[in-house]
Amino acid sequence: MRLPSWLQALGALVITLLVIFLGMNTGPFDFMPGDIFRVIVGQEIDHETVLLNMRLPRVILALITGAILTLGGFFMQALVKNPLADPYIMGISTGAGFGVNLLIVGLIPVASLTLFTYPLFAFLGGMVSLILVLALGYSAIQEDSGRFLVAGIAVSSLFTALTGLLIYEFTSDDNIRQILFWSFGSLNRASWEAVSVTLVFLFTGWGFGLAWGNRLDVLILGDQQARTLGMNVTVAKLAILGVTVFMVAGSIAFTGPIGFVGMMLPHFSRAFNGVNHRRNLVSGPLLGGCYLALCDVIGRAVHPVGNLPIGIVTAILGVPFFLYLLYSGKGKL
Amino acid sequence: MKRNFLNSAILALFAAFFIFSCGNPNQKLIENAPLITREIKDDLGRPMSFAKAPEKVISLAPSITEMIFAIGAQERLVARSQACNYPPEAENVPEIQTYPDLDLQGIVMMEPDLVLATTEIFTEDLIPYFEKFKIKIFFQDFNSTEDIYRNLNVLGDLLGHDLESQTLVDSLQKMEKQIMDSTQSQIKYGTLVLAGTDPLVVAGGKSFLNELIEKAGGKNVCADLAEKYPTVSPEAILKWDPEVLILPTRNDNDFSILVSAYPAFQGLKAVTNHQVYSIDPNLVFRPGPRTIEALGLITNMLHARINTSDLEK
Repeated sequence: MRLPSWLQALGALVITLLVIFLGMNTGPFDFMPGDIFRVIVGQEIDHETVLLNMRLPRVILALITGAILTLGGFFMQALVKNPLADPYIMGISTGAGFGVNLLIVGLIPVASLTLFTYPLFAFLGGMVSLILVLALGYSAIQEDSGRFLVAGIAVSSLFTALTGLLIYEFTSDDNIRQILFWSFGSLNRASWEAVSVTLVFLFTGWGFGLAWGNRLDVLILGDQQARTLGMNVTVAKLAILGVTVFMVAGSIAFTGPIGFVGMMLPHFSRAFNGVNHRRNLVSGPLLGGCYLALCDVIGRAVHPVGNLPIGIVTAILGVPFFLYLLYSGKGKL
Repeated sequence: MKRNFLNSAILALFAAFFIFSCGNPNQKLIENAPLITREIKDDLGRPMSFAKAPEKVISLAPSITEMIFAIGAQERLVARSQACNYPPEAENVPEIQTYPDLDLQGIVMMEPDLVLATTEIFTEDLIPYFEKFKIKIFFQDFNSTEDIYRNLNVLGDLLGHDLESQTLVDSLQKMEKQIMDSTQSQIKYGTLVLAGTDPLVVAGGKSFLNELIEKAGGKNVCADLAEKYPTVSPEAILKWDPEVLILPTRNDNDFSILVSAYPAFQGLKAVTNHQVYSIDPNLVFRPGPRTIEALGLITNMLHARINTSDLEK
């Protein structure tokens, strides 16, 4: 299935453009395909704000978020050497959810809510979970075992329980829906501001992957082998963890925890490109972005008024293909 | 001998009394049973008989608590749910926890004659628990103003305040009719009630608010949506482009937060024409005696020239 890289890049570009077009063409407003091109080249049309300020930032945010989650999946799977790992495995999403829920139920008094208040608390929650994982599992990071993974799962469960406590003790009818909404993930709040902020996170992760791709490859071989090859394994793991949590917490701050993409897409990408990280670095995130954006288009087409929660679409569509990959032996870590 | 006779006479008297009381076992029952034993069906269609008006009543819903106070039957209210906060005196009544879990034990300990619940907040699966402790639970269903009037009268009947409830219902019905007479000839402005801003939740066609909007002389732009309160996308709201936007909220910042999250909403007709209003959520989400007041307020928002304050009782 390995294609020449120029053909891959071209294919990825065509698919991305197609997804952007579909993303701009789907929704309650009917636009002629010609309208979309006219808007893109700068002509004025009726309701252009729907295309320019709602659909376009939404599809681009989906591309960026999908890419970040895919990168996060690659990094985490390399870190814990487990093909089941996803970017949330260290409790980032539950920590972020807890941060947001603290705000929603009003336990943290905030003078005025801005566009960035919820994302900020989601990000802080994710960071707190990282610190907890490091505090609990620091001794485990130096050894080649599942203990570090267990620390992550423990912290994740802790935040799930704390969120449950919040819901049980402090919610009212008014904010129960809000909490539910934040636990699903959604692209409804897409804006150019969100796009510009998440773009920074994307480039952070991408740059890291580019610079450290070889080390990730070595790390997969095992800690012992990596040490033999002269790598400081502890520092490498800390760096991988820090970068992953930073970019993933930053992206789910705007969209909520969107499931399945981060675990599944690295396997998709490896089916095309093999296990070498650098080789996956272009088409992997692109594939992840297109997949998420396409799922969003489907969610919007199926349910034009309300939009299906995106996590439901990503899982329902992805699982059959994922199982095929699993049993055909392609996309092995 | 004389003494024996006296003894046996007393004995005979006792025996006669005993036989008398045993021989007519129904006597006592008939005496104590008032003729007014009534059977009333609740809104789940379950018949319930009441020998006399219940003395100790627990209300598990804010709307029912408001109604009990409105018909002046609050002396029978021994407990209310933690959500019941109107009228302010209601807060003096002992509280029963209904959320996140119903405090069944607390209810049983109060030994109420009657527990009142709404079908919107509670479901039938509660009934067996109440039956186990022989506590009557009476369900009321509120889907329209008609339901409010009917259930006000049911409460008046149950709690022995039927005169008050009838007077209240008459005056509310009169106000509603006056409002409707004044609005029916008006232009029907496209109206959207944003029941929640994060996520965006609207009042759909089956919601109570849909009826209020129509009676206030408006047209609910999302009347076609089958759910009561569906979650919608921002683009759907742009597509509906309401002429009047109503936010049931007590927080004045909600609108500015909404517009900062969705800048495209600045182009909505309701926003450019300054037809964005807020309303006390308890007025519009709690079917009850204040619902007609809410109808008056919404009428004022839709048709500024109609002065509903003239219509106050």
